[in-house]
Amino acid sequence: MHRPSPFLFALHDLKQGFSKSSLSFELAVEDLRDRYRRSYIGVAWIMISFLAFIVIKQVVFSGLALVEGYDFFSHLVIGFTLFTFMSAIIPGAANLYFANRTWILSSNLPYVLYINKLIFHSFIELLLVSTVATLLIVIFGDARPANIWTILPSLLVYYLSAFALCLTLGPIGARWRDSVYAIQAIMRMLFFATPIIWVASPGTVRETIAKWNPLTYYLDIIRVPLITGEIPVEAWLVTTSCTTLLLALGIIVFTATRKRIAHWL
Amino acid sequence: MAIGKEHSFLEAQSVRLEYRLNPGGQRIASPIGGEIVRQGSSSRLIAVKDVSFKLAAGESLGLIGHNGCGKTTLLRLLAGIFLPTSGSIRSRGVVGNALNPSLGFRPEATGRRNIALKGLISGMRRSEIDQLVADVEDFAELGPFLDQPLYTYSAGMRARLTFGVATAIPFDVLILDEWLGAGDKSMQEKVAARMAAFVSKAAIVVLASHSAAMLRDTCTKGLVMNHGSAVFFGDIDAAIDYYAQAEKA
Repeated sequence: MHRPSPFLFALHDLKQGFSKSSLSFELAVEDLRDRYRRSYIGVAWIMISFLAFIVIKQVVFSGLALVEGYDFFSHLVIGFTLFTFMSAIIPGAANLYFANRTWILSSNLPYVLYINKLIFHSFIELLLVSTVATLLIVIFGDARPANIWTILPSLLVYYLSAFALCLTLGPIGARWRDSVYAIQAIMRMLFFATPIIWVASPGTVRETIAKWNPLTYYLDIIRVPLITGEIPVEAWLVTTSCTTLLLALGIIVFTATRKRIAHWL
Repeated sequence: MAIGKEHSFLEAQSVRLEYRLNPGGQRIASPIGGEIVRQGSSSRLIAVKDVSFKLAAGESLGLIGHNGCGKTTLLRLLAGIFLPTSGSIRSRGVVGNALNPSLGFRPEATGRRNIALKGLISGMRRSEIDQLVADVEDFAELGPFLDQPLYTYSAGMRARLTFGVATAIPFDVLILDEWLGAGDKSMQEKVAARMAAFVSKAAIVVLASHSAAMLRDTCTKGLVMNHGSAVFFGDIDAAIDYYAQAEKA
Protein backbone atom coordinates (compact mmCIF):
# COMPACT_ATOMS: atom_id res chain seq x y z
CA MET A 1 0.00 0.00 0.00
CA HIS A 2 0.74 3.64 0.50
CA ARG A 3 2.04 5.09 -2.74
CA PRO A 4 -0.76 4.30 -5.20
CA SER A 5 -1.49 6.61 -8.12
CA PRO A 6 -3.64 9.64 -7.24
CA PHE A 7 -6.59 8.15 -9.14
CA LEU A 8 -6.38 4.76 -7.43
CA PHE A 9 -5.98 6.46 -4.08
CA ALA A 10 -9.08 8.61 -4.65
CA LEU A 11 -10.95 5.55 -5.89
CA HIS A 12 -9.95 3.64 -2.75
CA ASP A 13 -11.30 6.50 -0.63
CA LEU A 14 -14.60 6.47 -2.54
CA LYS A 15 -14.93 2.70 -2.16
CA GLN A 16 -14.08 2.76 1.54
CA GLY A 17 -16.31 5.77 2.13
CA PHE A 18 -19.37 4.15 0.60
CA SER A 19 -18.72 0.95 2.55
CA LYS A 20 -19.06 3.10 5.69
CA SER A 21 -22.34 4.74 4.67
CA SER A 22 -24.12 3.45 7.77
CA LEU A 23 -21.47 5.12 9.96
CA SER A 24 -21.95 8.36 8.01
CA PHE A 25 -25.66 8.12 8.76
CA GLU A 26 -25.12 7.38 12.46
CA LEU A 27 -22.77 10.36 12.79
CA ALA A 28 -25.20 12.61 10.91
CA VAL A 29 -27.98 11.64 13.34
CA GLU A 30 -25.64 12.20 16.28
CA ASP A 31 -24.70 15.67 14.97
CA LEU A 32 -28.37 16.54 14.79
CA ARG A 33 -29.04 15.15 18.27
CA ASP A 34 -26.06 17.03 19.66
CA ARG A 35 -27.34 20.31 18.34
CA TYR A 36 -30.67 19.97 20.11
CA ARG A 37 -29.75 18.01 23.25
CA ARG A 38 -30.95 19.65 26.46
CA SER A 39 -33.81 21.17 24.46
CA TYR A 40 -37.37 20.09 25.32
CA ILE A 41 -38.64 19.95 21.78
CA GLY A 42 -35.35 19.09 20.06
CA VAL A 43 -35.39 18.84 16.29
CA ALA A 44 -38.90 20.32 16.23
CA TRP A 45 -37.05 23.66 16.30
CA ILE A 46 -36.06 23.05 12.69
CA MET A 47 -39.74 22.79 11.76
CA ILE A 48 -40.74 25.76 13.92
CA SER A 49 -38.08 27.94 12.35
CA PHE A 50 -39.29 26.93 8.89
CA LEU A 51 -42.90 27.62 9.82
CA ALA A 52 -41.99 31.03 11.25
CA PHE A 53 -40.35 32.03 7.98
CA ILE A 54 -43.39 31.02 5.93
CA VAL A 55 -45.77 32.84 8.28
CA ILE A 56 -43.77 36.09 8.33
CA LYS A 57 -43.33 35.95 4.57
CA GLN A 58 -47.06 35.57 4.07
CA VAL A 59 -47.87 38.38 6.53
CA VAL A 60 -45.32 40.88 5.20
CA PHE A 61 -45.79 40.17 1.51
CA SER A 62 -49.51 39.38 1.49
CA GLY A 63 -51.32 41.30 -1.17
CA LEU A 64 -48.57 40.89 -3.73
CA ALA A 65 -50.49 38.87 -6.28
CA LEU A 66 -47.71 37.72 -8.53
CA VAL A 67 -49.20 35.53 -11.22
CA GLU A 68 -52.90 35.11 -11.71
CA GLY A 69 -54.08 31.57 -11.15
CA TYR A 70 -50.69 30.33 -9.91
CA ASP A 71 -50.42 28.73 -6.49
CA PHE A 72 -47.77 31.09 -5.14
CA PHE A 73 -48.14 29.77 -1.60
CA SER A 74 -47.05 26.28 -2.64
CA HIS A 75 -44.34 27.85 -4.81
CA LEU A 76 -42.95 29.63 -1.74
CA VAL A 77 -43.25 26.67 0.60
CA ILE A 78 -41.65 24.13 -1.75
CA GLY A 79 -38.99 26.61 -2.86
CA PHE A 80 -37.96 27.42 0.70
CA THR A 81 -38.02 23.74 1.67
CA LEU A 82 -35.59 22.81 -1.08
CA PHE A 83 -33.43 25.88 -0.50
CA THR A 84 -32.98 24.68 3.10
CA PHE A 85 -31.13 21.69 1.67
CA MET A 86 -29.10 23.77 -0.78
CA SER A 87 -28.08 26.32 1.83
CA ALA A 88 -26.80 23.52 4.07
CA ILE A 89 -24.91 21.72 1.31
CA ILE A 90 -23.15 24.49 -0.61
CA PRO A 91 -21.38 26.31 2.28
CA GLY A 92 -21.04 22.97 4.11
CA ALA A 93 -19.20 21.50 1.11
CA ALA A 94 -16.67 24.34 1.15
CA ASN A 95 -16.12 24.02 4.90
CA LEU A 96 -16.19 20.21 4.87
CA TYR A 97 -12.59 19.44 5.75
CA PHE A 98 -12.12 22.23 8.29
CA ALA A 99 -15.30 21.10 10.05
CA ASN A 100 -13.79 17.60 10.32
CA ARG A 101 -10.18 18.70 10.87
CA THR A 102 -9.66 16.84 14.16
CA TRP A 103 -10.94 13.61 12.67
CA ILE A 104 -8.86 13.93 9.54
CA LEU A 105 -5.63 14.56 11.47
CA SER A 106 -6.24 11.76 13.97
CA SER A 107 -7.64 8.90 11.92
CA ASN A 108 -7.33 7.39 8.48
CA LEU A 109 -11.06 7.24 7.84
CA PRO A 110 -12.03 7.87 4.21
CA TYR A 111 -12.93 11.46 3.40
CA VAL A 112 -16.09 10.30 1.61
CA LEU A 113 -17.38 9.42 5.09
CA TYR A 114 -17.45 13.15 5.91
CA ILE A 115 -19.10 13.99 2.59
CA ASN A 116 -21.90 11.50 3.17
CA LYS A 117 -22.29 12.67 6.77
CA LEU A 118 -22.97 16.22 5.57
CA ILE A 119 -25.38 15.07 2.86
CA PHE A 120 -27.29 12.68 5.13
CA HIS A 121 -27.52 15.39 7.79
CA SER A 122 -28.98 17.79 5.22
CA PHE A 123 -31.41 15.17 3.92
CA ILE A 124 -32.69 14.51 7.44
CA GLU A 125 -33.32 18.24 7.90
CA LEU A 126 -35.01 18.31 4.49
CA LEU A 127 -37.26 15.45 5.57
CA LEU A 128 -38.27 17.24 8.77
CA VAL A 129 -39.01 20.48 6.96
CA SER A 130 -40.88 18.60 4.22
CA THR A 131 -43.39 17.22 6.72
CA VAL A 132 -44.36 20.78 7.73
CA ALA A 133 -44.34 21.88 4.09
CA THR A 134 -46.65 19.02 3.08
CA LEU A 135 -49.13 19.90 5.83
CA LEU A 136 -49.08 23.58 4.86
CA ILE A 137 -49.67 22.82 1.18
CA VAL A 138 -52.48 20.37 1.90
CA ILE A 139 -54.22 22.88 4.21
CA PHE A 140 -53.55 26.23 2.51
CA GLY A 141 -52.21 25.48 -0.96
CA ASP A 142 -53.94 25.00 -4.29
CA ALA A 143 -51.47 22.65 -5.91
CA ARG A 144 -52.51 20.12 -8.56
CA PRO A 145 -49.77 17.53 -8.13
CA ALA A 146 -49.14 14.85 -10.70
CA ASN A 147 -46.07 12.88 -11.74
CA ILE A 148 -45.04 12.87 -8.10
CA TRP A 149 -42.83 9.85 -8.83
CA THR A 150 -40.33 12.30 -10.35
CA ILE A 151 -39.39 13.34 -6.80
CA LEU A 152 -37.39 10.13 -6.43
CA PRO A 153 -35.06 10.67 -9.41
CA SER A 154 -34.93 14.35 -8.41
CA LEU A 155 -33.59 13.41 -5.00
CA LEU A 156 -30.99 11.24 -6.70
CA VAL A 157 -29.94 14.29 -8.74
CA TYR A 158 -29.77 16.28 -5.48
CA TYR A 159 -27.61 13.63 -3.85
CA LEU A 160 -25.23 13.32 -6.81
CA SER A 161 -24.92 17.10 -7.20
CA ALA A 162 -24.31 17.53 -3.47
CA PHE A 163 -21.69 14.78 -3.56
CA ALA A 164 -19.99 16.34 -6.58
CA LEU A 165 -20.03 19.78 -4.92
CA CYS A 166 -18.31 18.33 -1.86
CA LEU A 167 -15.66 16.67 -4.04
CA THR A 168 -15.07 19.99 -5.81
CA LEU A 169 -15.51 22.68 -3.15
CA GLY A 170 -14.10 20.73 -0.19
CA PRO A 171 -10.44 20.81 -1.31
CA ILE A 172 -10.80 24.42 -2.52
CA GLY A 173 -12.16 25.47 0.88
CA ALA A 174 -9.35 23.62 2.66
CA ARG A 175 -6.65 25.22 0.50
CA TRP A 176 -8.07 28.73 0.27
CA ARG A 177 -9.98 29.58 3.41
CA ASP A 178 -11.35 32.79 1.88
CA SER A 179 -13.40 30.74 -0.55
CA VAL A 180 -15.49 29.44 2.38
CA TYR A 181 -16.50 32.97 3.38
CA ALA A 182 -17.02 33.96 -0.25
CA ILE A 183 -19.38 31.02 -0.76
CA GLN A 184 -21.29 31.87 2.43
CA ALA A 185 -21.76 35.42 1.10
CA ILE A 186 -22.81 34.17 -2.33
CA MET A 187 -25.30 31.79 -0.71
CA ARG A 188 -27.03 34.64 1.11
CA MET A 189 -27.25 36.49 -2.18
CA LEU A 190 -28.52 33.40 -3.99
CA PHE A 191 -31.54 33.26 -1.73
CA PHE A 192 -32.77 36.48 -3.28
CA ALA A 193 -31.53 35.56 -6.77
CA THR A 194 -33.52 32.32 -6.82
CA PRO A 195 -37.26 32.22 -7.49
CA ILE A 196 -38.40 31.38 -3.96
CA ILE A 197 -40.09 34.53 -2.70
CA TRP A 198 -40.76 35.69 -6.24
CA VAL A 199 -41.86 34.26 -9.56
CA ALA A 200 -39.92 34.55 -12.81
CA SER A 201 -42.59 36.45 -14.71
CA PRO A 202 -41.97 36.55 -18.48
CA GLY A 203 -40.25 39.64 -19.85
CA THR A 204 -38.85 40.80 -16.52
CA VAL A 205 -35.31 41.09 -15.11
CA ARG A 206 -36.31 38.36 -12.70
CA GLU A 207 -36.85 35.98 -15.61
CA THR A 208 -33.29 36.64 -16.81
CA ILE A 209 -31.87 36.12 -13.31
CA ALA A 210 -33.81 32.89 -12.90
CA LYS A 211 -32.74 31.68 -16.32
CA TRP A 212 -29.02 32.01 -15.53
CA ASN A 213 -29.29 30.66 -12.00
CA PRO A 214 -28.83 26.86 -11.98
CA LEU A 215 -30.65 26.59 -8.65
CA THR A 216 -33.86 27.58 -10.45
CA TYR A 217 -33.75 24.35 -12.43
CA TYR A 218 -32.96 22.29 -9.33
CA LEU A 219 -36.08 23.76 -7.69
CA ASP A 220 -38.19 23.24 -10.79
CA ILE A 221 -37.58 19.50 -11.16
CA ILE A 222 -39.44 19.00 -7.88
CA ARG A 223 -41.63 22.08 -7.62
CA VAL A 224 -43.21 22.15 -11.09
CA PRO A 225 -44.69 18.59 -10.99
CA LEU A 226 -46.01 19.25 -7.48
CA ILE A 227 -47.73 22.53 -8.42
CA THR A 228 -48.78 22.11 -12.04
CA GLY A 229 -48.41 18.39 -12.62
CA GLU A 230 -46.11 18.94 -15.61
CA ILE A 231 -42.64 17.51 -16.09
CA PRO A 232 -40.17 20.38 -16.71
CA VAL A 233 -38.07 18.94 -19.52
CA GLU A 234 -35.68 21.90 -19.76
CA ALA A 235 -35.02 21.81 -16.00
CA TRP A 236 -34.24 18.10 -16.22
CA LEU A 237 -31.82 18.68 -19.09
CA VAL A 238 -30.05 21.45 -17.20
CA THR A 239 -29.84 19.63 -13.86
CA THR A 240 -28.66 16.33 -15.30
CA SER A 241 -26.05 18.18 -17.38
CA CYS A 242 -24.91 20.19 -14.34
CA THR A 243 -24.72 17.03 -12.24
CA THR A 244 -22.66 15.20 -14.86
CA LEU A 245 -20.26 18.13 -15.28
CA LEU A 246 -19.96 18.62 -11.53
CA LEU A 247 -19.23 14.93 -11.00
CA ALA A 248 -16.52 14.96 -13.66
CA LEU A 249 -15.01 18.12 -12.16
CA GLY A 250 -15.35 16.73 -8.64
CA ILE A 251 -13.51 13.52 -9.51
CA ILE A 252 -10.71 15.52 -11.16
CA VAL A 253 -10.34 17.90 -8.18
CA PHE A 254 -10.60 15.14 -5.58
CA THR A 255 -8.08 12.95 -7.43
CA ALA A 256 -5.64 15.83 -7.78
CA THR A 257 -5.89 16.96 -4.15
CA ARG A 258 -6.81 13.96 -1.99
CA LYS A 259 -3.24 13.26 -0.86
CA ARG A 260 -2.61 16.89 0.10
CA ILE A 261 -5.81 17.90 1.89
CA ALA A 262 -4.57 16.86 5.35
CA HIS A 263 -1.58 19.21 5.00
CA TRP A 264 -3.83 22.19 4.39
CA LEU A 265 -5.75 21.79 7.64
CA MET B 1 -10.43 -7.50 13.37
CA ALA B 2 -6.78 -8.56 13.67
CA ILE B 3 -5.38 -11.02 11.11
CA GLY B 4 -3.07 -13.05 13.30
CA LYS B 5 -0.06 -11.34 14.70
CA GLU B 6 2.65 -13.73 13.49
CA HIS B 7 2.20 -12.56 9.88
CA SER B 8 2.35 -8.85 10.60
CA PHE B 9 5.11 -6.51 9.52
CA LEU B 10 5.65 -2.80 9.06
CA GLU B 11 8.24 -1.44 6.66
CA ALA B 12 9.20 2.12 5.75
CA GLN B 13 11.44 2.57 2.73
CA SER B 14 13.05 5.98 2.20
CA VAL B 15 9.88 7.69 3.40
CA ARG B 16 9.93 11.39 2.68
CA LEU B 17 7.28 14.02 3.23
CA GLU B 18 7.89 17.46 1.87
CA TYR B 19 5.90 20.27 0.41
CA ARG B 20 6.20 23.85 -0.74
CA LEU B 21 5.53 26.61 1.72
CA ASN B 22 3.77 29.76 0.68
CA PRO B 23 5.94 32.90 0.38
CA GLY B 24 6.91 33.96 3.86
CA GLY B 25 6.40 30.41 5.06
CA GLN B 26 3.39 31.23 7.20
CA ARG B 27 1.11 28.60 5.82
CA ILE B 28 2.11 25.53 7.78
CA ALA B 29 -1.31 24.76 9.08
CA SER B 30 -0.38 21.49 10.74
CA PRO B 31 2.00 21.72 13.68
CA ILE B 32 4.72 19.60 12.16
CA GLY B 33 8.45 19.75 12.56
CA GLY B 34 11.27 19.04 10.15
CA GLU B 35 13.58 21.20 8.11
CA ILE B 36 12.81 24.26 5.98
CA VAL B 37 14.90 24.49 2.81
CA ARG B 38 15.03 27.67 0.71
CA GLN B 39 14.92 27.21 -3.07
CA GLY B 40 15.26 30.60 -4.72
CA SER B 41 12.27 32.69 -3.69
CA SER B 42 10.27 29.73 -2.37
CA SER B 43 10.72 27.43 0.62
CA ARG B 44 10.05 23.75 1.10
CA LEU B 45 9.35 21.98 4.33
CA ILE B 46 10.96 18.56 4.64
CA ALA B 47 8.88 17.15 7.47
CA VAL B 48 10.27 13.61 7.22
CA LYS B 49 13.47 12.91 5.33
CA ASP B 50 14.17 9.48 3.84
CA VAL B 51 13.32 7.36 6.87
CA SER B 52 13.70 3.59 6.55
CA PHE B 53 13.15 0.71 8.94
CA LYS B 54 11.53 -2.69 9.05
CA LEU B 55 9.70 -4.26 11.96
CA ALA B 56 8.65 -7.89 12.15
CA ALA B 57 5.98 -9.37 14.40
CA GLY B 58 7.07 -9.16 18.02
CA GLU B 59 9.15 -6.02 17.51
CA SER B 60 8.18 -2.61 18.78
CA LEU B 61 9.72 0.71 17.89
CA GLY B 62 10.25 3.76 20.06
CA LEU B 63 10.53 7.12 18.30
CA ILE B 64 12.93 9.40 20.12
CA GLY B 65 13.72 13.05 19.57
CA HIS B 66 13.10 16.59 20.71
CA ASN B 67 9.80 18.36 20.13
CA GLY B 68 9.27 19.24 16.48
CA CYS B 69 11.75 16.68 15.13
CA GLY B 70 9.04 14.91 13.11
CA LYS B 71 7.91 12.08 15.43
CA THR B 72 4.19 12.87 15.21
CA THR B 73 4.41 13.43 11.47
CA LEU B 74 6.09 10.04 11.04
CA LEU B 75 3.37 8.45 13.19
CA ARG B 76 0.74 10.06 10.97
CA LEU B 77 2.50 8.71 7.90
CA LEU B 78 2.60 5.22 9.41
CA ALA B 79 -1.10 5.51 10.34
CA GLY B 80 -2.02 6.48 6.75
CA ILE B 81 -3.17 10.00 7.70
CA PHE B 82 -0.43 11.62 5.59
CA LEU B 83 0.85 10.10 2.36
CA PRO B 84 4.60 10.11 1.68
CA THR B 85 5.91 12.38 -1.08
CA SER B 86 8.35 9.63 -2.02
CA GLY B 87 9.29 6.25 -0.65
CA SER B 88 6.76 3.75 0.58
CA ILE B 89 5.20 2.29 3.69
CA ARG B 90 4.12 -1.31 3.54
CA SER B 91 2.35 -3.24 6.23
CA ARG B 92 0.46 -6.43 6.84
CA GLY B 93 -2.19 -6.56 9.49
CA VAL B 94 -4.79 -4.13 10.72
CA VAL B 95 -3.12 -0.82 11.47
CA GLY B 96 -4.75 1.17 14.25
CA ASN B 97 -3.79 4.29 16.03
CA ALA B 98 -4.48 5.90 19.36
CA LEU B 99 -3.09 9.27 18.35
CA ASN B 100 -6.18 11.00 19.72
CA PRO B 101 -8.00 8.60 22.08
CA SER B 102 -10.88 10.97 22.74
CA LEU B 103 -11.61 11.42 19.03
CA GLY B 104 -15.31 11.02 18.33
CA PHE B 105 -16.48 11.43 21.91
CA ARG B 106 -19.57 13.59 22.20
CA PRO B 107 -20.12 15.47 25.45
CA GLU B 108 -23.89 15.42 25.02
CA ALA B 109 -24.16 11.66 24.43
CA THR B 110 -24.15 9.06 27.21
CA GLY B 111 -21.04 7.06 28.03
CA ARG B 112 -22.73 3.94 26.65
CA ARG B 113 -23.60 5.66 23.37
CA ASN B 114 -20.06 7.03 23.09
CA ILE B 115 -18.60 3.55 23.46
CA ALA B 116 -20.94 2.25 20.76
CA LEU B 117 -20.01 5.13 18.45
CA LYS B 118 -16.31 4.46 18.94
CA GLY B 119 -16.96 0.83 18.03
CA LEU B 120 -18.77 1.89 14.85
CA ILE B 121 -15.97 4.28 13.95
CA SER B 122 -13.49 1.43 14.36
CA GLY B 123 -15.49 -0.70 11.94
CA MET B 124 -16.98 -3.10 14.47
CA ARG B 125 -20.17 -5.05 13.88
CA ARG B 126 -23.17 -4.66 16.18
CA SER B 127 -22.48 -7.95 17.95
CA GLU B 128 -18.88 -6.88 18.60
CA ILE B 129 -20.07 -3.52 19.89
CA ASP B 130 -22.18 -5.19 22.59
CA GLN B 131 -19.04 -7.00 23.74
CA LEU B 132 -17.07 -3.73 23.61
CA VAL B 133 -19.63 -1.94 25.79
CA ALA B 134 -19.57 -4.78 28.33
CA ASP B 135 -15.76 -4.78 28.40
CA VAL B 136 -15.45 -1.02 28.92
CA GLU B 137 -18.29 -0.99 31.44
CA ASP B 138 -16.44 -3.60 33.46
CA PHE B 139 -13.12 -1.72 33.31
CA ALA B 140 -14.26 1.86 33.79
CA GLU B 141 -16.47 1.15 36.84
CA LEU B 142 -18.79 4.03 36.05
CA GLY B 143 -21.92 2.33 37.35
CA PRO B 144 -25.12 4.23 36.53
CA PHE B 145 -23.06 7.13 35.15
CA LEU B 146 -22.53 5.06 32.00
CA ASP B 147 -26.07 6.08 31.04
CA GLN B 148 -25.49 9.76 31.80
CA PRO B 149 -24.16 12.34 29.32
CA LEU B 150 -20.39 12.61 29.11
CA TYR B 151 -20.42 16.27 30.14
CA THR B 152 -21.58 15.23 33.62
CA TYR B 153 -18.42 13.15 34.17
CA SER B 154 -15.49 14.23 36.33
CA ALA B 155 -12.06 14.40 34.64
CA GLY B 156 -11.15 11.04 36.19
CA MET B 157 -14.33 9.33 35.03
CA ARG B 158 -13.89 10.70 31.57
CA ALA B 159 -10.26 9.56 31.44
CA ARG B 160 -11.29 6.04 32.53
CA LEU B 161 -13.89 5.84 29.80
CA THR B 162 -11.47 7.16 27.16
CA PHE B 163 -8.71 4.80 28.25
CA GLY B 164 -11.12 1.88 28.51
CA VAL B 165 -12.34 2.35 24.93
CA ALA B 166 -8.92 3.12 23.46
CA THR B 167 -7.47 -0.09 24.88
CA ALA B 168 -10.43 -2.32 24.06
CA ILE B 169 -10.05 -2.48 20.29
CA PRO B 170 -7.19 -4.78 19.21
CA PHE B 171 -4.91 -4.04 16.25
CA ASP B 172 -2.05 -5.92 14.64
CA VAL B 173 0.01 -2.78 14.19
CA LEU B 174 -0.52 -0.17 16.85
CA ILE B 175 0.58 3.46 16.52
CA LEU B 176 0.77 5.45 19.78
CA ASP B 177 1.78 9.02 20.48
CA GLU B 178 3.10 9.30 24.04
CA TRP B 179 1.39 7.02 26.49
CA LEU B 180 -2.24 6.56 27.18
CA GLY B 181 -3.19 7.14 30.77
CA ALA B 182 -6.37 7.04 32.78
CA GLY B 183 -5.28 9.81 35.13
CA ASP B 184 -6.78 8.10 38.14
CA LYS B 185 -4.39 7.09 40.95
CA SER B 186 -6.87 4.71 42.55
CA MET B 187 -6.83 2.58 39.39
CA GLN B 188 -3.13 2.65 38.58
CA GLU B 189 -2.54 -1.09 38.80
CA LYS B 190 -5.63 -1.90 36.80
CA VAL B 191 -4.64 0.69 34.19
CA ALA B 192 -1.07 -0.64 33.93
CA ALA B 193 -2.31 -4.23 33.54
CA ARG B 194 -4.83 -3.25 30.88
CA MET B 195 -2.25 -1.23 28.96
CA ALA B 196 0.22 -4.10 29.03
CA ALA B 197 -2.47 -6.49 27.76
CA PHE B 198 -3.46 -4.04 25.02
CA VAL B 199 0.12 -3.67 23.77
CA SER B 200 0.73 -7.41 23.97
CA LYS B 201 -2.26 -8.07 21.70
CA ALA B 202 -0.58 -6.09 18.93
CA ALA B 203 2.17 -7.76 16.93
CA ILE B 204 3.94 -4.46 16.35
CA VAL B 205 3.86 -1.25 18.36
CA VAL B 206 5.26 2.12 17.34
CA LEU B 207 5.41 4.56 20.22
CA ALA B 208 6.67 8.14 20.39
CA SER B 209 7.68 9.17 23.87
CA HIS B 210 10.07 11.32 25.87
CA SER B 211 10.21 8.80 28.71
CA ALA B 212 13.30 6.57 28.55
CA ALA B 213 11.84 4.18 31.14
CA MET B 214 8.62 3.79 29.20
CA LEU B 215 10.48 3.23 25.94
CA ARG B 216 12.71 0.59 27.55
CA ASP B 217 9.67 -1.19 29.03
CA THR B 218 7.71 -1.23 25.80
CA CYS B 219 10.10 -1.18 22.84
CA THR B 220 12.73 -3.47 21.38
CA LYS B 221 14.00 -0.99 18.78
CA GLY B 222 14.59 2.74 18.82
CA LEU B 223 14.70 5.32 16.06
CA VAL B 224 16.23 8.70 16.89
CA MET B 225 14.97 11.62 14.81
CA ASN B 226 16.45 15.05 14.23
CA HIS B 227 14.99 17.67 11.88
CA GLY B 228 12.86 15.04 10.16
CA SER B 229 15.75 12.62 9.56
CA ALA B 230 16.40 9.26 11.19
CA VAL B 231 19.87 9.68 12.67
CA PHE B 232 19.96 6.35 14.49
CA PHE B 233 18.09 3.06 14.25
CA GLY B 234 18.94 0.09 16.42
CA ASP B 235 18.28 -1.58 19.75
CA ILE B 236 16.27 0.56 22.15
CA ASP B 237 19.04 0.85 24.75
CA ALA B 238 21.57 1.92 22.14
CA ALA B 239 19.08 4.41 20.69
CA ILE B 240 18.40 5.97 24.08
CA ASP B 241 22.13 6.22 24.77
CA TYR B 242 22.74 7.76 21.34
CA TYR B 243 20.06 10.38 21.96
CA ALA B 244 21.43 11.18 25.43
CA GLN B 245 24.95 11.64 23.98
CA ALA B 246 23.64 13.81 21.15
CA GLU B 247 21.77 16.00 23.62
CA LYS B 248 24.95 16.53 25.64
CA ALA B 249 27.06 17.40 22.58
